[in-house]
Amino acid sequence: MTDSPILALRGVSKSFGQVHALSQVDFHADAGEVMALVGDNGAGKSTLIKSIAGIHPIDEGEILFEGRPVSIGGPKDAGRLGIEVVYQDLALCDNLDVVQNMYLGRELRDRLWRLDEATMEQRTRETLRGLSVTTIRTPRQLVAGLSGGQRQSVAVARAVMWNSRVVILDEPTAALGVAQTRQVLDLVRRLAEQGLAVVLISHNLHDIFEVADRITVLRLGRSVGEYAVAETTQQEIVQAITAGIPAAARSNGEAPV
Amino acid sequence: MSMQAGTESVSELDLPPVAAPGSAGRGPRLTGGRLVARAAPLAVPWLMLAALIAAYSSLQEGVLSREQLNLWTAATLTLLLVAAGQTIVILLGGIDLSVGGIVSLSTALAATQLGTGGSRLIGWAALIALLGFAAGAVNGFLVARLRLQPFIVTLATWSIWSGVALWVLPTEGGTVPESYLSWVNREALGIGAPVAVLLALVAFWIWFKRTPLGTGIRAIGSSENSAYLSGVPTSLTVTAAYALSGLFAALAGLFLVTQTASGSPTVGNDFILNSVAAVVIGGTSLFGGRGGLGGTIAGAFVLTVIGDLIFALDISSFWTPITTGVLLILAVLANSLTELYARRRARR
Repeated sequence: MTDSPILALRGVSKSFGQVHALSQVDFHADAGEVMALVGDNGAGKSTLIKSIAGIHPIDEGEILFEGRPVSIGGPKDAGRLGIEVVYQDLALCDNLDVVQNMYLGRELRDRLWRLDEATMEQRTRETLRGLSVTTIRTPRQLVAGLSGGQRQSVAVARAVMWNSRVVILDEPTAALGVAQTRQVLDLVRRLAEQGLAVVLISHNLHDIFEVADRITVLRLGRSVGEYAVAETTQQEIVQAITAGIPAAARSNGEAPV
Repeated sequence: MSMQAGTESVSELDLPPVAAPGSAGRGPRLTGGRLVARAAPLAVPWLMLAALIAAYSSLQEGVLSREQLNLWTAATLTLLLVAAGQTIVILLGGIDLSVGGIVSLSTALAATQLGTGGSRLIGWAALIALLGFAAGAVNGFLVARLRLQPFIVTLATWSIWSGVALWVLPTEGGTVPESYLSWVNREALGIGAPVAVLLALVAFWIWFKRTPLGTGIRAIGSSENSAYLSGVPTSLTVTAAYALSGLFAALAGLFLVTQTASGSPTVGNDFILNSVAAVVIGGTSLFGGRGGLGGTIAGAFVLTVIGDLIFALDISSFWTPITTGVLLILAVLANSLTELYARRRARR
């Protein structure tokens, strides 16, 4: 574990009425690493990232950004800190083109308050090229006309364009075919190599073991434990997800080698 | 700046940033199929208008003249101003029925308060425009903040403003000062004041659709949730859209009194559904996100020219609403077909 993670959650709890979606959850994301967040349906993964994004304010605990406690009141606050979330439905607007989507809500303006189209288009090209996204031929295409993988690439590119420090990806490969999944996983790896803290939520352990450095397992709103990918196995993670066997149990020799 | 710097250095190392060809232009570059796909929705209303004008000019002399343009624009401008506001709200995925009440109230106030001219006239005209803006902002607040249905909200405020209009001016009448009526009759180079207003409206739209607000409105029309998650200030954007619709409705009332030289507490009601019809004939989707003023202009003129055409054909005037209805259905049908076509083109 690094000394000061970019993003850390300490004892975070969140309830919706009687439902304890998160209780006393600890979590962190470090620069240059891919942290996977796994858990069964209803384990609290979505609530956790929505808390980080400021959509669900937390009831208890604290969120630390670069060691400082912060309060995040909405997607704009998160964005200002450098936390970007790529939601499962990607939050793209079909009727706008790639450039307009990349800058949605943060448009560059010229003196007459119009969009600075030329600069926006140029930076979009540069960002896509920087991420080696070659599948999008022109950033003036409407998003409606893009494939699933291309849309995912646009959403990821948008997330990293804003001096982001932390990028959270919610099930980025769930709706993709084999080749497109490959592209997105490569992209995830490149983000970490460029020094970002990446949080990857996925149900696909195979994908996770391929790109992640660490895994945090959530079960019924609690964190079961954190595992280094290099020192664990898929079986161990499955057991943690389904039965909640914590990492400490491993030292008792219960987990298969 | 870490990510930005990282991204740039990568592109500098691997692929030197090439100045994208043609990216110096202001608007988005469009070529070939994509241009066709985006222009297609505009084609339907303008072709419809061209066909109606062609039919009319086969029956009448001097249709393609500046005089006719001035006449038709004067006859259409009230509807067009209301429909311009309606376009903005419908692009957002909403609807504004309150424009009827705002137009009525605006004419009622104009016919009773403008006085005899001078600074009182200017002050009240500005106040009426401001009231329209504020009335629209109330709609926007109720829709955006209190999450009420736009149909019900604007139905309610239509009723409220109609009531206030009756309070201000119980029956049709009042007087509008001569000095105010005269500006409409001014001409320059054979172009009347209504045409000048129309051109100003077009200039406004060309600017407006490229502003962050214009983009935000279309984004919300596509998906309010996506827009919110992307950081679009959705409440503010929705409120601004309804406020603009209220402002345009008030301006429409201020123009209408120059045509009638009097106020009416119920005159606005004609413009509620006609403004929606003009927007829809103009190719703007009632589901939001697609369309714009370019089509609405044609849509509004279509409604004017139909009436004149029916008159010129010397058939009973009840054919006007019937023909309007049929054209409305044809326009919606044509628009959904071009949208389908545009999507297929966009995929290539």
